[in-house]
Amino acid sequence: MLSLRIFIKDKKNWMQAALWVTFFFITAILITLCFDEGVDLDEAYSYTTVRGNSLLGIGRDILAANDTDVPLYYIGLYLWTRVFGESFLACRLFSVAGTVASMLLGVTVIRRLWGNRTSFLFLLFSGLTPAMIHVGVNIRMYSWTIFLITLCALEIYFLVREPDRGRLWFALSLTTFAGLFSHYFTAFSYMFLYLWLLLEMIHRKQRGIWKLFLCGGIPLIPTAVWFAASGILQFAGSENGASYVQNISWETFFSFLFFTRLEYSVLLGSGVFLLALFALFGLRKKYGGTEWRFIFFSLLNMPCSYVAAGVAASLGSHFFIPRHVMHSIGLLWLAMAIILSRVNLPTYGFSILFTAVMAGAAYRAEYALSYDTTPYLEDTMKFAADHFQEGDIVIYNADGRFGMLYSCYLPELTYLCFWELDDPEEMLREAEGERVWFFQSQERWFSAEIIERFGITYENLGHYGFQIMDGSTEFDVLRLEIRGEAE
Amino acid sequence: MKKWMILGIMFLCMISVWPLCLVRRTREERSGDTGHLLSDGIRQGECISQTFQATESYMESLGFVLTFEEEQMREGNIRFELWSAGGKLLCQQEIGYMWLPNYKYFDMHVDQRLKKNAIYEFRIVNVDVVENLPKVVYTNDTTVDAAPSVEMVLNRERVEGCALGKYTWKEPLDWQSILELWAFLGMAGFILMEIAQGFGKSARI
Repeated sequence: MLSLRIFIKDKKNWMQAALWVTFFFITAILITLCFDEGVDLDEAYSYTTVRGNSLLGIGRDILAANDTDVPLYYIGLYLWTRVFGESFLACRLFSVAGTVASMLLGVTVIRRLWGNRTSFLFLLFSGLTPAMIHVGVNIRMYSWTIFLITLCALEIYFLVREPDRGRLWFALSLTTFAGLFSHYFTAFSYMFLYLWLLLEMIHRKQRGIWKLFLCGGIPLIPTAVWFAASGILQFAGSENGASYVQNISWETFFSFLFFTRLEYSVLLGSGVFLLALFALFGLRKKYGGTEWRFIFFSLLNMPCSYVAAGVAASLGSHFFIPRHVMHSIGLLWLAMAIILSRVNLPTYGFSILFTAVMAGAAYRAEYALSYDTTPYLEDTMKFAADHFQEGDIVIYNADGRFGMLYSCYLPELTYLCFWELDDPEEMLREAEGERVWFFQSQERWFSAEIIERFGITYENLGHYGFQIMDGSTEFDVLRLEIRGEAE
Repeated sequence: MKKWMILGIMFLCMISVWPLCLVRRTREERSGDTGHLLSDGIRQGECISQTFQATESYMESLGFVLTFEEEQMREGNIRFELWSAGGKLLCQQEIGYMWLPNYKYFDMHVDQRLKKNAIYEFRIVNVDVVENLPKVVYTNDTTVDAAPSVEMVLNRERVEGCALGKYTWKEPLDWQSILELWAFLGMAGFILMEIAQGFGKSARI
């Protein structure tokens, strides 16, 4: 009872309690978005890679895809689903856990280093800003890579002060490895973080620079081996590369960070970024040193990675969108939280107001994206339960990738993309006598000549669909009757 | 002194956002794409008028659609006029007929403060076009109404339907956008104030 009274009387305890309340409040807000039963194509890829697979199978599948994917996130998701089940809800909660990990840094390490005010603002930024709220519930690796990059930056910050701590070097190497094996574009964030560490060590005339190269180099070896095995070189030097440079613009960059339906949201967001940069330079006159440089590099890590990754993407054919280089976003928010909480109290108050209003708009948008984009889902699943049987063949004429999305919901069916059929006639011969369905998203399908030759008749059983996105996954369900090829 | 100047500017900016509502957002209302009809050609000296209800208090521009024989020569001028219900001419502008696009919206820059919900009228007057007479495109589809149409009159005869219109309004911001702007201005003001003062003891890094 006495200790409780002492606790209540201490202002610091109140502040800490408020931080934890905020932490749980934001977590709860994110969880309200996790009951979304719709998945986009990237989420479908994550889900189908993990569902019913094994650890070795995941590695094998990713390598076989001949893409730029790396396996750590999928392994993590696989282990998570072993414990919590394979529902979409469970998978989304794994992403929430990534954001929760970042927020935990906020209420622990960041609070100890920069105080309650910074910690509170960092919680708001890292949990509720538009991009963060989206990746926080998206079944992808981004919430985890953001955590890993922020953690890595904090490790480097400690290493600059205490370069002889062996465990910290080991942790840095491990974090680098984890990031690189979660998403390949984290390399750009790491590159600038290591660059800062190198410059700082040179500036401080510290010994042991070799440790930096060792810690950064060791994770690069398995990464290089992985990429060599997955055939990343196929993307190099493609003629398509130059077109990806067109995606690089500051508007795109700031839109990703700040866009909401509020008027001038992107303009104001970029204004806040510039104000923070100005304020940082103002603060430099009075307070220089390692801390200032840490904030400076943290603030600029994301724009620098963005440009560097964009340039790199221009040399290869692999796609480039801001989401791929957003891994330093946690660092950017950390830098802004430190700056805006130190200028003066009114600035801090207005920063909270700005973030809260932005968060409200971002939440409403994400809520609509989560729950207003699956109007057909319930009916579709009911229809599927009544009509489909295991082994049924479904031909669809949406984009080829949608088969993966359909299989998230109805895995027992066999999907064939109409556009990817090498030999439609051969397929129709083989399908004779089978139960065949057609998901018709667009008018074009079998030619009249084929329909006549194979005696195809059909019955339209209604309009169904899964999540509305990318030109829609809606379709008419046709039950096909293939009588067989005319002699 | 600098401090109060910066804070004063910040305060002025804030009240210009609200309650003065000097910062507004653009909203466009346009007629639907169905049920299009063509009027008879507007002869020299004649006009077509469309009355409408102002749904906002500030009009940025007003677009209308004319059509004509594209292959034929176009000479002369067309005049656009905007009138209040009380018969006051608010703005007018002459346009060379040859500059008008065929069957596309032509936006007239209006930039006028209007009385919300009051009735206004725009007129398209044939000043001196004698050949290849312009026709107004109008619609009888009232399901997609731009600014609520009141009446369309061609050569003093009422026409069933309303001229295709694209009304661009400047409407006040919603309260969330106002708060967001206020927060930004507040941040900007106090950061600039701190920079101007060379950062006081409140800043510690």
